[in-house]
Formats: sequence, structure tokens, C-alpha cells
Amino acid sequence: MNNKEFVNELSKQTNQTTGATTQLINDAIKILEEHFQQNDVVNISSFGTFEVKKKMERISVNPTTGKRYLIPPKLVLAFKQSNVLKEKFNAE
Amino acid sequence: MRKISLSNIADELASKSGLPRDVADNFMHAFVEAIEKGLQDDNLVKIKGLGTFKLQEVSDRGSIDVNTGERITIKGHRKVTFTPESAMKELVNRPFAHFEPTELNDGYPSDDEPVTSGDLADEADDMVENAEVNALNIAVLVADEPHEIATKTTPCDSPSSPEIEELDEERSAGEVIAEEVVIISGPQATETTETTEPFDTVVSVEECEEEVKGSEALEEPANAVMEEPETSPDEESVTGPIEEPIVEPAAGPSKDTVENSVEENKTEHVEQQTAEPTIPIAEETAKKPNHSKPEAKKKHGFLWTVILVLLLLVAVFFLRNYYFHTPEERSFNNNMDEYGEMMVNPNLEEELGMEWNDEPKVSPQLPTGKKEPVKPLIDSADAQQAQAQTSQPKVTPSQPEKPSGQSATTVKPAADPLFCVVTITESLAAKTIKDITPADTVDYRIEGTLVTHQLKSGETIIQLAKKYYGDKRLWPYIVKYNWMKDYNNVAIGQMINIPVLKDKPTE
Repeated sequence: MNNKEFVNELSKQTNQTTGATTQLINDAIKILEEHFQQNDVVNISSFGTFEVKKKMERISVNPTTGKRYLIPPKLVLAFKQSNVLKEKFNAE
Repeated sequence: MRKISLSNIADELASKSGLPRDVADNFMHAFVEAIEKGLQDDNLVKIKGLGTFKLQEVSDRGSIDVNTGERITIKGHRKVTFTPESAMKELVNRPFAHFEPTELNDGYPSDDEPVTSGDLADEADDMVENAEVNALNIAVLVADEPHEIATKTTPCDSPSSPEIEELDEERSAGEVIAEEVVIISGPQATETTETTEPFDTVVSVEECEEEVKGSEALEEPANAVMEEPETSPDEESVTGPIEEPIVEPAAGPSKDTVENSVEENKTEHVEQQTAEPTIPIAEETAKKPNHSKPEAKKKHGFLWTVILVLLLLVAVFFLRNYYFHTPEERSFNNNMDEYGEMMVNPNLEEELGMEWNDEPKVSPQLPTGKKEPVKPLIDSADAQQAQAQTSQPKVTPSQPEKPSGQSATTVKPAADPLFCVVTITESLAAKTIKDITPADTVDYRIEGTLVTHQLKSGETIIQLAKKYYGDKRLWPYIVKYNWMKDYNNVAIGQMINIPVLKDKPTE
């Protein structure tokens, strides 16, 4: 399901035009982004949690050249599915 | 770090878009449901601006129950994964965006430092051994002919000349120079005393040495460094021949003055003759610059005294051995054989031999002039002879031998400088062989566990290899024996099995 299909599906469920739905989706994503930037944990019950995690810096070796690199720390958006979602997809 | 629920987002969405709150809430629930439906239908949902949700298969895998320790299998299942869009990634990582991967050039400084220091110590040991070898050569060569005295000095120069290089580079001032003076004068001392022992003018020789030291010390550092090693061979060559013929008829009282004058002659001769001996020295030092520098640095406080003492001891010891046990020619032949085997660079030897052959042209005449007067000295100056015998009883028996070997000595001069050069190359070659020969050219097979080592803070596998096998290059065996995947990353307290290494039988 690509973005277009997703918008159509959502507009069908909420009985709104695709244009309005796209607008709302963008707004919702903007809100999510703001929370991510504040390192908030976004917990969507029965679906999962979005969390920004910090990966520490590390030393990595290029196996072909043997050169060693210091990989800087970084922030990564991680998603963990909830147990409800897991069971839903593994029901059979 | 607040916890945000879906309803919080719905609230914010309502305030942002102006929709009623329940509509916004419905929308957010519909949003999540749409994702789930999309995952259900084709296992993939792409949302622009957010990322991609995927439903992925996870296959069976074995694991161990944390509580009971039993083996269990985790059944394969499907799980929802989320990959943020690159725009989203960058947005999230914005606080750390200015960091970039940097290449590390330093390697493992903490690992190698103790090891290299050990190597330096080894090299220092090598240096001491080398000095011993030189002293040995000197001692073996001492008694035979006057021009050999000149040849002896060249092995003595070989340890001192590296220091000259170092000085040229570093320009470190007086201390090192003083040491060099001592080092250089040390061999001189041994040789001059040996040569003059029969004549019982040890005291005067010492005086001369002091004078030499004083005069050299007075000179400017750079000049002193350059001149001293050059003077030493020439001094010996001059003192050896000139001293003895003049001294022998004069018989004693005028020796001091004679030798003083000889010294003046030396300094004059130096400038004329320096070119020939310095060339081979320069070649040798050029071949061994790596060793000389660390050695010279290490030596500062300590090594020169060791060398001095060793030179004296070994020289005396071999003098005794030589005079009592071996005739000249046999020792020469033996030495030639030994050194001939060790020779590595015949070209160098030839070059040096060519250069050295020029100098001894003077010397063949001298032995004849010298040795004939030796007898009258022995006969006539009985009192002196008695003194000489009391002070150096070992020397006197050799003196009768000299004239007998005279016919041989006239032949030798051509060979002797060659031989001297050979000894130089031999000592250098021995050193290089020791350095080059890698211990891990031999294959070992692993036979059981020698010991189990618990890693402490700061230890590395390489250091373990150095500790247990005495050779850091054998670390791969430890890695192999322990099935280590990442030997660069070991933990403190990790148990390492040190294997027993046996030589592989040659097939």
C-alpha cells in the first residue's frame, strides 16, 4: 500500500475528501515530528511505540582497507510493535 | 521525555486543524487502522513524510531460557517493522547532524608501547653484544702487527660513529660529546696500553690519553664529533708504528715527550689521511641508522661505561688466551673462516678492502723496522724487561714469536685490513640476521591448553603472546585457539586459553 492508496483508504474510512485527508495526515505527521524532536515517546495503544533512541559513538573498521573510523553518535527513530499488534498478525 | 498517547496527538491535531476534538480523535484511530489494514493486505504501508511500515517474517530460532537454562525454540512469526523516511531520519538526528565519521590514524598506541620498549631493550642488548664482538676482534688482533692497531680502531669506531650521526641530526650538546670522547678514548686506552705494555710506559700513555681527551673536549662540539673518530684510527696507526721504533732504542726516559710529539703528528696526519677510513665508516653507518639512533639514546647514562669495562675485560682475557694458546696464523685462519661464513655483503667488503689496501702500504715496512729492535730491547734493557714482566707477564712470551712470524707478517698486511673489514661486516651482519629472522616463519601446531588466562585491564592478545611465548607475533595462535571473532575487542575478565605450541614436524 503506497501513500496514495493509504490516503484513499483513510478518506473512505473518515468520509472525507482525499485533499482534506492529506492535509490532516500532514498535520498529524507534523505533530509527531515535533514530539520526536522533543525526544517524546509516542505510545499508540494496540499498535506500538515510536521512540527516539540515542546510538552511542563507536569505532568501525573498513574491512577492505583496514582503516578505522570513529562513527559519531546519532539519534534514531525506533518503532516497537505492541503485543496486541503482534498477536493480531500471528493469530492463525 | 514525556509519554504521548494517541489521544494527546488527537488533541493537538484538533487545535491545529480546527476540527472538533472527537473528529480528530476518530481520524487518528482511522489512521492507525488504515495502517493495520494496509499491512494485512499487502504487508507494506508507505506514508509520505513519515516512513514505511512492513510486516516481516521471522523464522524459527533456537535460544536458551534465561531462568531455567533449557534450550527452547522461538517459533517463527511475523512482526511489524518501521523504517523512517530519510527526511524524518535527518529531522530526528538534527541535534547530532554536525558529527561526521572521522578516520583514526593512531592505531593501537596503548598496545604497542610496552612491546616496543621491550624491543628497544633488546636492541640495547644487541648493542652490548656488538660491542663485545668488537672488543673480541680487537683483542684477537692486538698483538700481531703495528698496522693492525690501525685496523683495530675501525671496529671501535663502528659503535661510536652512529652517535655522530645522531649528533648531526639532533645537535645535542656537550654531554653526549663528552661520552663519545670517553667511548672513543676507551678503545684507544686498551690498545695503546696493550701496545706500550712491553715498554712499561703505561703511565705516560694515560697521560697522553688525558691530553687527547682534553684537547678534544676543548674543541667545538660539531668539530670535535667529526674529528675524534677520524683521529682515532690515524692516531693509532701513527702511534703504533712510530711510537715503538722510536721508543725502543730510546728505552724509556724520553717516552713522554716522544708520545706528545707523536700526538702532534697525529693531529697533522688526521687531516691528510682522514678521507680513506671515514668512507667505510660512513657506509656502515648509512646501512644501520635505525639501530644506532635508539641505541645511542639509550646508551647515554650507562652503556658507555659498560662498553668500556667490557672492552677492557674481554681484551685482557683474549690477550691471555691468545698469547698462551694460539699461534698467530692459526687464530687468523680460524677467525677468517668464521667470519667468512658470516659474510653477507661481499661487495661492501671488496669496496672497503680496496680502500684499506691503500693505507697498509706504509705498514709492511714498519713491522720489519719495529720487530728487529724489539729483540735488542729485550736483551739490553734488563731492568725494564723485569718491570714489564712483572706488570704484564703474558705479553713477553709473545715477543719472541713476532720476529719468527716476520716472513708471514709481510704477507699479511694486505689481508689484514680486509679481515678487519670482514669483522665489521660480520658484526653488522650478525645484527641484521638477528633482527630479520622472524620467529613465525616456523609453523606451530596447537597441543592442548597451557594455561587459562583471565584478561586484566590494559592487556591485549598481543601482550599475552609476548608474555607466554616471548614473541608478540604468535598472537594469531591464541586467537585461533579461542575461536575469537573480534580479537580487537576483548573484555576485562574474559578467559583466554593459552595453547601449547609445538614445532610442526617438517615433512
